[in-house]
Amino acid sequence: MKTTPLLLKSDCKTEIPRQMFTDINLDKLISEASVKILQSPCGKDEILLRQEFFTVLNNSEKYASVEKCLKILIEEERLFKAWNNAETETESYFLRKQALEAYVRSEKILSAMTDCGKLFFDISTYFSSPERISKVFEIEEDMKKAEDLLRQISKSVISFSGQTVIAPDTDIRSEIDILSETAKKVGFFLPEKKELKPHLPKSISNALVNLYPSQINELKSIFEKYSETKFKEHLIYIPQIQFFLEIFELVKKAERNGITHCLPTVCSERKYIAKETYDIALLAKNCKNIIPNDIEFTEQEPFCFLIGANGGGKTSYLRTVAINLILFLSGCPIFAKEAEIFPFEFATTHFPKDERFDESGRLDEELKRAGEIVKTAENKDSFLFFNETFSGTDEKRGLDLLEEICEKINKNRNFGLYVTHFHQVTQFDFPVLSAQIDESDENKRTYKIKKSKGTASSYASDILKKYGLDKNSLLERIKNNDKSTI
Amino acid sequence: MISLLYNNPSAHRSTEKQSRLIYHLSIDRSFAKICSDINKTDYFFSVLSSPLKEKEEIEFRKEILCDLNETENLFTEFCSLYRHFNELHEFHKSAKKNNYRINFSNESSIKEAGNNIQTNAITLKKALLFIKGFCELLSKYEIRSCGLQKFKEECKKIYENENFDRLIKLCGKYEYMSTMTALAFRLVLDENGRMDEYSFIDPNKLNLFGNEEKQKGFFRFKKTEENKIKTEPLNPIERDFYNNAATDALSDIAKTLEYISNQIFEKFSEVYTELTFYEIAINYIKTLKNKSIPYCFADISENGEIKIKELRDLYLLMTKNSPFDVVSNDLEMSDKTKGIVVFGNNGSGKTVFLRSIATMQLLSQAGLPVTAKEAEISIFSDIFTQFSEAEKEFCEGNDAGRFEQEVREMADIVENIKDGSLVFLNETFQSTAYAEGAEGLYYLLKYFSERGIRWILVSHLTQIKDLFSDGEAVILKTAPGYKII
Repeated sequence: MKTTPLLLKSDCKTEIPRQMFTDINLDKLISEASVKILQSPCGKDEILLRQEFFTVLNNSEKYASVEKCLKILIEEERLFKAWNNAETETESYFLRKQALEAYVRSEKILSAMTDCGKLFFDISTYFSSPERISKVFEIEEDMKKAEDLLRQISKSVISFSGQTVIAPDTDIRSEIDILSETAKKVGFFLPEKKELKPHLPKSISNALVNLYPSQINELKSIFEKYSETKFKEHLIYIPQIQFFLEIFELVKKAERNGITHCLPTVCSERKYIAKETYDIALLAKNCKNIIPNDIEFTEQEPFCFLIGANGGGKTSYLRTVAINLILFLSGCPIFAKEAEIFPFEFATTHFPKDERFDESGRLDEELKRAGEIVKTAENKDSFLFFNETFSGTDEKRGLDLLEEICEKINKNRNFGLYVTHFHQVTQFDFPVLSAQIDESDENKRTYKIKKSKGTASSYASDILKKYGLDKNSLLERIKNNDKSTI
Repeated sequence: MISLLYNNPSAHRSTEKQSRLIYHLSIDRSFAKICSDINKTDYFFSVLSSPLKEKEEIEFRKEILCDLNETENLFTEFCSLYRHFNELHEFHKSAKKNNYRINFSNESSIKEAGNNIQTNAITLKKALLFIKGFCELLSKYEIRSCGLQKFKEECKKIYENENFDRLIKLCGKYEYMSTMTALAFRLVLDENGRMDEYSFIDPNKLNLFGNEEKQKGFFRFKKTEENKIKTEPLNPIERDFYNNAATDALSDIAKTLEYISNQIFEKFSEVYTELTFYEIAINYIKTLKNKSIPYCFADISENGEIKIKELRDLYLLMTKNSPFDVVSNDLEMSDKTKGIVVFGNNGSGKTVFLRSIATMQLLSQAGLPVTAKEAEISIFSDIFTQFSEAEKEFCEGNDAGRFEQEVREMADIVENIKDGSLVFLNETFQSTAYAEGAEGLYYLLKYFSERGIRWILVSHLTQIKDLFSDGEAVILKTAPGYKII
């Protein structure tokens, strides 16, 4: 028996840790369901198929088809759940009919998605088999019968006169209708009827079943035929389509903010090269004018340090590299003008944790995590990101540990980016990137990252001045304070 | 909403009550002699404080006042009918509060809902009959005012509708409805098998056990199985559900009845309050007549002119025994006149003159007669006063100096004044060096004139005279015997 084809397939062996998404703020941009999908890099073949599907979504008509398909599937899910939660026998008949009708709608739309890329083509082929089509027609015919039967039992009267009984509907008009109609004719306005829609109590439901035995028996026999219907076969597509649409919406949102995107070339040699690449996480902070940067990691220079001024865009650059890599690894467009990327198997981050540690405690925790990361990345095509790792100790020790871990990464031939304030890394035998500042314009941050050894300053005084805590500001304060004291 | 004060009530926006205006002009003291009920005069002053801005609106009110004042018994009968209508409205409001107290989990809730139907049906029936009553009362008299004609037509539109009697009959039916004997409901399920409708139907129309009308003669002795509708007993274990659903269905009827009544009260109830204005206006005219005070309704000038003959101050008229104890003055203000300054010695009648003009303008723009032999006025978009107040006014909770307070008041006027307004200033800015006060005031008056705001100033700041160029102001002065020349 043929298995149901999927929109998202992945044979990922090592998931990207969930923590990485928090570290690089990607979880602020996308839903948890999509994070879950992005945790599993899908491999070259799947990347190409998914990229093709993203291209399809650019066509507005096809996008509308996919969106419509999703809506139909979600409605089927809603009705399927409603039927499962039906409170009474009669409610169950009504909802079962609705769920089966929704099932038919889903079958039809899934079989019609022939021109939405290879991924959907396989699905539509599967749902277009002659057996399925004939079953759909059969359900449709039976639901017409069911509708007629349900109509017969949907209206009745309840009388409380001596004994309480239920009877088939009569043509007596309700008092509220008579009153409302008369009042309207005189010229008064009346509010719309309120929608109550409570569940039917069991006693009425049971009485209706007894009142209409032939109709109920017929309904039972109709629905019995479809007791094996596999609703879940459709519903698995909901999160998968949602993932594609969510990423597509993110791309559109970025586009509205003047951020370009591309589908990177999937290359077979190990490298990550991208031009004019953006830190999309800044969108979550409603930042305008995000400055793009270039990325270049190659087999010859797989690992870089990144140093530079505080507030110069070092962490943002790390996010730029990491977010776009993660998106690429799941076949999504990335936020760059153009790119060539190797389908790495694994990626992770090492960021300082928020919790307070005492000096040795923090270092121990960092060491432990760093060790685990390096071990996990062993024998894999991995990309590792370090942000201010080992800054929780004295400079000499921190530098020693940094050197030690870099040697391991180098030995493993892992790719990586290490953001640090240890300017001594410029003496190491690794390329160094630095956050550029404009010295001619009061050390203004350009947010540009370039390959250079940079200067040995973090320009912390600029930040202090901004908050009135630099030397001159503090002296001025003291002077003013003296004056007021005198 | 029907209004007897405004021809176009929706266009009339009530502004914040300018109590200072009434206070400055001593209108409160004048009308205290006419009506002693503070609640009523407060309402009357609130109406006066929002001058009408359209000639048609002034005519509308004036005509109604004439009808009510001149048609014997009309006002008394109309008020009496409206008093009962208002009592019904008050009863309806209190009944509404009680309706919210239904306890739906209680079995007696059905009975309570039934009682609400009865109460609301009685109220609606009475409210409908009041409409009929208003219509019949106004038909009894020869009404000339378009306002009362319009009121009658509105009543007629409802009363003469072919379904009016049917609605009253329905109310009659619900008035005697009992929830104790039998109840019946229609149940409709929606496409999800949930209750889409659970509505009350007349149990008397429902015959589930055979049609008795057909069972005549021989058939009386024959079992009418063929007429019998199939029924299924309901196990009333879910008693709460049945109670709630029945209460809901019955409450729907009660609420619909209440909703219709609300519309009647919303439409007609404001008139009851408005009649207070006419009550005081009628008493005002009666007082003028009793005191033989000459009065007239002002004509509305189309060209911006103001011409008053023998204008007397209302407050003085109310305090003196004879109108002839109060000196009258004339006023002419051509359309070219931007403002008038009145100079004169203390106690020479400047303020009384200013007050009498402002009072006359305010009463005229409220559709009321004025204490003059003849009057032709122009309509102003608003009326403002700034009266120099006694020092005591500045004591409590006011840290500003007197001059600053005046400046503040003027700033407030400047902030809120509209083009085409009229401003009365009494000894403004005299609480500072006169030359400076005069200069400050001059530019303020110039600002008013530039905006087409006309003004009348009573002042001792004679320096201001030298600042005016030709045509900027007309200068008047007092003469012996409280005359203004």
